[in-house]
Amino acid sequence: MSPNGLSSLAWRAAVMCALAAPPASAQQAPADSAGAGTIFDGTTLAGWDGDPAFWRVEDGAIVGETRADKPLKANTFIIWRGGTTRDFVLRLEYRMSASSPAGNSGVQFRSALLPDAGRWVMKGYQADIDAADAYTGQIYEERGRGFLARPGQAVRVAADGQLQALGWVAQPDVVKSFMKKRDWNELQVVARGNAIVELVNGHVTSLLVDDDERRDKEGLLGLQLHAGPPMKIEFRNIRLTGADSVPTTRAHADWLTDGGNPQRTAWQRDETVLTTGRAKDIRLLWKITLDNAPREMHSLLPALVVGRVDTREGPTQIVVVTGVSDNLYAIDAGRGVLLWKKRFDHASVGDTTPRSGLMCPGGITATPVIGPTTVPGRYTIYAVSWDGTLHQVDVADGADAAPPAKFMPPNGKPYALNLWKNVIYTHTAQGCGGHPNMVYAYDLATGRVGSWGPAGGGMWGRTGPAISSKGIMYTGTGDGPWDPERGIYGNGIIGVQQNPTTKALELADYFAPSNAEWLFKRDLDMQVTPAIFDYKGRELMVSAGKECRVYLMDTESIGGDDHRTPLYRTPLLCNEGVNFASAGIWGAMTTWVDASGTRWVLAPFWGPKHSLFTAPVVHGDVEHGAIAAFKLEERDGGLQLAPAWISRDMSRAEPPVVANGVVFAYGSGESTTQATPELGLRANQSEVRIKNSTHAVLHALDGQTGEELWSSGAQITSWNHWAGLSVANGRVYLGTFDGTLYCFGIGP
Amino acid sequence: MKASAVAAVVTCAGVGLAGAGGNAARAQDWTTGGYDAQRSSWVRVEGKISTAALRKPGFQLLWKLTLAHESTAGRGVTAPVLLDLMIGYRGFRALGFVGAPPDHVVAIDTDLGLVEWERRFAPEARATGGSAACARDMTPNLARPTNAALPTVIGGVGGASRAGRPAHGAVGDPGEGAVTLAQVGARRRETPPGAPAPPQSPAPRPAPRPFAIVYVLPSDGMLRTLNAMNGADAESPVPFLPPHTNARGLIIVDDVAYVATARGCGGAPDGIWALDLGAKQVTTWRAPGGIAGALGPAVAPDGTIYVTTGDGQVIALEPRTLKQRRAYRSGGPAFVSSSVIFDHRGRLLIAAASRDGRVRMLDSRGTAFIRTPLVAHAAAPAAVALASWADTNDTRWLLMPGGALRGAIVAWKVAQHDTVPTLQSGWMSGDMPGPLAAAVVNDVIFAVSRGAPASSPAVLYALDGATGKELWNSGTTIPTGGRTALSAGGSQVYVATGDGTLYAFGFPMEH
Repeated sequence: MSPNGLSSLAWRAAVMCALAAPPASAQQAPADSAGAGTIFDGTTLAGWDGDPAFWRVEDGAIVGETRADKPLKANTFIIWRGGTTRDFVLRLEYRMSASSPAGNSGVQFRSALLPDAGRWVMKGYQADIDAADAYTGQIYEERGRGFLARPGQAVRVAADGQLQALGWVAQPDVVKSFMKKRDWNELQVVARGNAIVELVNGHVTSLLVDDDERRDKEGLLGLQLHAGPPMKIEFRNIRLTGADSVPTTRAHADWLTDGGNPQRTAWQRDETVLTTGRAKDIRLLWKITLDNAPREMHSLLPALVVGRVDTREGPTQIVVVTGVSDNLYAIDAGRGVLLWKKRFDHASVGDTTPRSGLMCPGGITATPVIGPTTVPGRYTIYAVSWDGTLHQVDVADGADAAPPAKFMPPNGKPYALNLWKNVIYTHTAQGCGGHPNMVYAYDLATGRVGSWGPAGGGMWGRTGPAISSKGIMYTGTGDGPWDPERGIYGNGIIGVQQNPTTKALELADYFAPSNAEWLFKRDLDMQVTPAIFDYKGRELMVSAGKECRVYLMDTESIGGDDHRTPLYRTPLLCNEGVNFASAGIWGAMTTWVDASGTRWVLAPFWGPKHSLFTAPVVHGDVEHGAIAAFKLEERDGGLQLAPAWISRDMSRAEPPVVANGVVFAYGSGESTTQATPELGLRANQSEVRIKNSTHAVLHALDGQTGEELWSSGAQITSWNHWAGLSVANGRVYLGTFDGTLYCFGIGP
Repeated sequence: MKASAVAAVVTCAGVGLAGAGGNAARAQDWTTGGYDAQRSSWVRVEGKISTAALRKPGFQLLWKLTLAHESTAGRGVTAPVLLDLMIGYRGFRALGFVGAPPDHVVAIDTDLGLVEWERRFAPEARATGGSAACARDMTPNLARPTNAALPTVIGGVGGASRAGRPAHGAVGDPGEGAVTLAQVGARRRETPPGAPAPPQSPAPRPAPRPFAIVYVLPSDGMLRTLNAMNGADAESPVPFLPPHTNARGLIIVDDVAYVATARGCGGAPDGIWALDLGAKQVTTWRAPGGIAGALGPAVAPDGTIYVTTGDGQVIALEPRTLKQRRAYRSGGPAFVSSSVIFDHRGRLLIAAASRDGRVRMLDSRGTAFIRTPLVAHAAAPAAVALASWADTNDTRWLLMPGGALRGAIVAWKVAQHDTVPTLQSGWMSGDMPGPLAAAVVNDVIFAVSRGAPASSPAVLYALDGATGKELWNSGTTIPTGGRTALSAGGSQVYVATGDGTLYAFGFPMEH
């Protein structure tokens, strides 16, 4: 019996316990064809986060290497971002290069980051490895308690941190004999509770029973590259099994792109906090006024939300807001405080460029898109600045994640970016900057930009293009004639697809309403961002235009054989006066599925309801705008959009978003008058319209009935133009012209 | 919104629009009697109407609208002055402005055949001076600003010119962005220095307006400037003519309104009147022999005013001041039509019909008239105006109504003999009782037989411009004729009849 009461039998029992079957709670690491628990795919660093200057993949292994011409001043680590380790079994193979006699490495587990020391710096338990095998097999604590169990030792750390030798699992020389020089060795770490056992090539090399109250019970896993003389270490066949690790799989919802997803459904499927029952409890959680200078009527673009970002301060929910004057802002969603701000350099176009009126405000006009990196918890913002440059910015800190790259001409007017399979899509309208209206696709892998213009039609769906499962980008084409025989595709919908080989954009499909000529003549553009969704194995799409009808299409052939025949066309919902402004459907469509499986389609419209249009539920007279809700139904052998409800009146109803059965919609309060008898089109100047604008009102509606559950009333004091709603994690975001971002929700 | 190759390109945004509908008229609109400043009655750049299209079914009555009050029926309404694209406070509109007795102006949505707005002016009063017929003639004159330049033929027939180059795509080199980015650089390098600003007229100009306007000259002789969107006064009425004159051919060119007076109605002498819209000054030129034709003055591209007279002269007047520059004596009988001006291989020619049934043509640089032979079986010519157009072979045609015993449209070709333009017989249409001056839409001749007697049906004919062969007719669609008038634009042809009904013909468009 040892003085601490732990006999040699006890530590042997601890070994047995640690090596026993994993707990029933099961491991969370992804399993794939490479083998259960594989956390390295053998070809990429997907899921790993390390300094690319020192880490690479080569011949199926993660390689860490320093050279004389590229020394390392401090230890660096490549961190597995797939989860955190608590109780687990880790198996991997390592090989220390023969040319690295002083090489030192190790495997971190239950470890933490030290951001103040560097982006890739860790502290915590380490299964040590060195070229001389002086330390290989020992359990060490990096930047902490140091040596815990040296090679061959069985050690207990008492609650007060005192080390107590329990005995030997093997003599050090014997342990050393387990190692294969200049060859692959198998390293295994078994951790369960306070017991940690390390094995090399199947032999136990050290044992630690850690009762230290300060010990880390959970943390990150990483691989070390030690500072010092040049060295090279390789790791392969890394498997994390039998663990009780806590993954960092998304526990929070995101809103990474305008419209919520590439299909632009505007449906937040991951919402759990906001419900129809709790909507009455919505309140203003915070608001923040940003220093963005408006340009014309543009100010803040729709907010993007990343539910969990790994920052130096720990996991953070971040809201990214774009200001038209080339500004990006990151805001802590929980506290409503600014985390960082970035302003793009626009000296080449900025102050020297005369403004071109309301339509062409300059600045950033495209809502950026956020994409996950290969490292869980880290995200990149893709933004096109005023000068047409594509920027890639780290959500966590605003640093450049990649050098800025040429994308499109300056002073254009791109619309919300969409990200699909490593390609950034957008389109432009209004010929801003004197440039033709084009679809653009930036291929992130090759840096090549494909462009395609429909000739005649500007594409100004508010939330940019929608992308189908086949990677076809759909957009409406307003402002142009429809004459496909001459290659002119105005006032219709086009589907454009990237050629994977050439990166060229090619026309994949097209559709125009049968009255496209009329739409062109009366400026009733098809300019609404479509929404794409699945329905019983088919992929369908809805879109609309200022004429105020909704079109239902099948993405297999959006217009049928003649390109003029949709699956269904609603009657006119509004715009009885055939007006081009202040009437019709504007912006984007919304679609969602309720708990019963009913597919809903929502259309925002401006102006009075058409006198002949009605629905089973109508919430009062509609004078300034409303939301019309339809159910997708099968009738007479076909599909129809059956009117379900019409919301209350809203001052210019904007595209709604849906979260957990709650429809969030708002009236922008914007003056949308473009012509008056007295001023003619001079009424369509920012100063006139700004003066006549009022304030936005946010509404929460019951998705089933359209009944108003809650309203912001007069809490929003400014209006907005080209803004939009975003919803995630119990919060709804809306920016206004005065630079204020409002966050409504159900708070703690 | 439009992206067509029109003079005033408007770029619509989902959120905004750039200037349109100001004072500058677009060349393709029918802005005055006879379509353009030269009174050619030839509508160019028409979207759908062509001989090929008229050979197929589809051209039909689109709508009709009764505008005149019963008590004034028989005095007819004017053919609409057109505004094919107006961006107004109620939306994009194609409007036609029609004058109807008594002193009534109606703006019509020509797509739908609906009244957009209407105005009534001074109560009708008995004419003083002139014959009793004066009262019947006093229907408001309407016009929109008209360019003096010869309208340009843009593109071909059938709408081929409505858009630019077809859809296109390209791929930029890696790291170089889109090809459109490279094009910007090239464009910057090629941008020539800015052109000098055009010389400004010393005359005061009316302030530019942010909306389209239509000018109306009702029986009180006050020129009204109306907002085309709603018919409201855009400025105070300006005295122009004595009350109750018989005004013909109101035209506004370079901020000057011109009109002819005839028959001595209202006690006003026959002549040409000019109102400087900037200075608000009226100038008059008296025509001792009276003014011939229905369309009043024709305006050459350089602004010179040409007038045909009842004593067989063509008079050239200085713009704005109406000082007589030159008088050309035809040596023949009185002219019965207004003059039509056209370009023929670099020469500016003026033509008009004479009482003897001939067409007489004058080179603006010369003094000698060229005349056509007498038409066989010629009856008293019905011509009050000619029409002129050029085919794709650059053959210039002149069209005269009334050249046969029962009436017809007679077409003449302008030929070249050595260096001298001549007129050659072209074709004569079938019988067409009481034909009106033709309107040409691209290569299709539209002519109305107003019937005889006046109570008989009027028939609109579409003729092949090259042969005179009938392509289509309206049959019995128009039950009465009488004081019928014709205009065209926006792929539609309008017939205004003596009973105050306006008919619109064209190819249907799904709304």
